[in-house]
Amino acid sequence: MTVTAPIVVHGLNHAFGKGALRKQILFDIGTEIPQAEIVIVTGPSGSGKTTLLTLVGALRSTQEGSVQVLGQELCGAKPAILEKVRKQIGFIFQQHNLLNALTALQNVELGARVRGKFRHSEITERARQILQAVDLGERMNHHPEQLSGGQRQRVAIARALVGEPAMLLADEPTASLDKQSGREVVERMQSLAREHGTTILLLPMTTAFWTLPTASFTSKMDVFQRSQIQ
Amino acid sequence: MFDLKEGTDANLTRDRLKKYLPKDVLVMTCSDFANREKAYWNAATPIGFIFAFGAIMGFVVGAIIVYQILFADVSEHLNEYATLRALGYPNRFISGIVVQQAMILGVLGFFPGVAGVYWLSAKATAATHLPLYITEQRALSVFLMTLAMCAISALLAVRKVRRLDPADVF
Repeated sequence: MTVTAPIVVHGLNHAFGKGALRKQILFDIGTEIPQAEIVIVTGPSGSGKTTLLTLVGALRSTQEGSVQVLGQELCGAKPAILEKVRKQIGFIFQQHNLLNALTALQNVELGARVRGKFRHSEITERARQILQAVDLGERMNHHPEQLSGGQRQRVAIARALVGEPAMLLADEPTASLDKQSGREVVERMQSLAREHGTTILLLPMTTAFWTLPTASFTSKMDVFQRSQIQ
Repeated sequence: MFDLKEGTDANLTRDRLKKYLPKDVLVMTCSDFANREKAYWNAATPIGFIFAFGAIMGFVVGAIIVYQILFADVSEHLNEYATLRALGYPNRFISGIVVQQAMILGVLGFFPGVAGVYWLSAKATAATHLPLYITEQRALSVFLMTLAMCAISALLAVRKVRRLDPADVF
C-alpha cells in the first residue's frame, strides 16, 4: 500500500510585490515529507521559511508550482478546499493571535470546535486538560490581555494542539517560553507525532529546543539546501 | 349619499344605478371613494412621490451608515477574523458574526427610532394636516426592512476579510 506523503511540494516559486518592487522569495522548492515526521525547516533569516510554512498551511495563495497537503492540491484551490485543509492543521503563529474578546479557555475551544469531530461537552473538557498541561490551569478564565506574553503563547500552542491535528505547523513556537515549558511543549509535539501520526513542520527556535537529545527527532531537514537561495 | 338596507350588495347597487344615470355621473361605494382619494394624493400630487423618495433615501443612508460602522469594526479586528479563517472557520461563519453584529445594531436602533417617529409624526400631523398613521403592520415592515438593510451592509463590510489571505494580515 502506498500512501501519499502529507506534504508534497514541487517547483514552488513565490514572490512578493508587483512590477519593479517584485521580489521573489522562494525559488523552485521541492520536497516531500512523510507522515509522522518531525521536520525542522532551517535557512537564513529572510529566506522564506515563514512564507513556505504559510503556503503549506493554506494560509497564503500559491502563485506557481504545486503544493499538495493531506492529499489536496492547494495551487488554485477553491476556498472550500482551503478551509478543509486548514481545519486539519494546527498552526502556531509567530504572534499568539488570540481573540481578545474570549477567555483563554474559549480561545482553546475554538481550536477544538473547528475540527468538527468532538462532542460539545468533550470540547470544553479537552480544552481544560490541555490548558492544565501547559500549566495554565489557574488562568483559564483570563482574557489574553490579562496574561503575560509567554502565557499567551502557551494558550496559542494549546489551541493548535487541542484538536489533535493531522499536521502541525509551528513558526518559532517556543520563542517566548522558558526552558522548562519550551521543553514540555516540544515533548507534547513528539508524543503527538508518535501516537497520532501527526506530521510536524517546525521553524527553528530558542535554545530550549536544542537541549533535547537530537535522536528524539525523526529528522532534521534543511528544505532550502536543495533549493536556490538568493 | 345613500344608506343601503342591511344585507344589500353595495357593488351590485352601484352597477345598477350607473345604468340609469348619464356617463358623467360617478357612482361609488365607500371603499371606491377611499381608493380614489388615495390614488389622487399619491399620483396627482407630489406628496406620494416625495414620501416614497424619502423612504428610499432613508434606506440608502441607513445602509451606508451601518456599512461605515461595521467596516471600521471589521478593520479594527481584521487580525482576529483572519485568525478564525486560519483556524479553518469558513467564510460563512465569519459573515455570520458580522451579520449578527448588524442585527444587534438594527434592533438597538429600531426602538429609539420608533419613539422618535411617534413624537415626530404627531408634530408633522399638526403642522401639515396630513394624516400620518403608524400601524403595527407598517412598523413591522419597517423593522424587517431595517434588518435587511443591516444584513446587506454587513455582507458588504465583510468582503475585505473574505478577499484577503489569512497570512497577509499577520
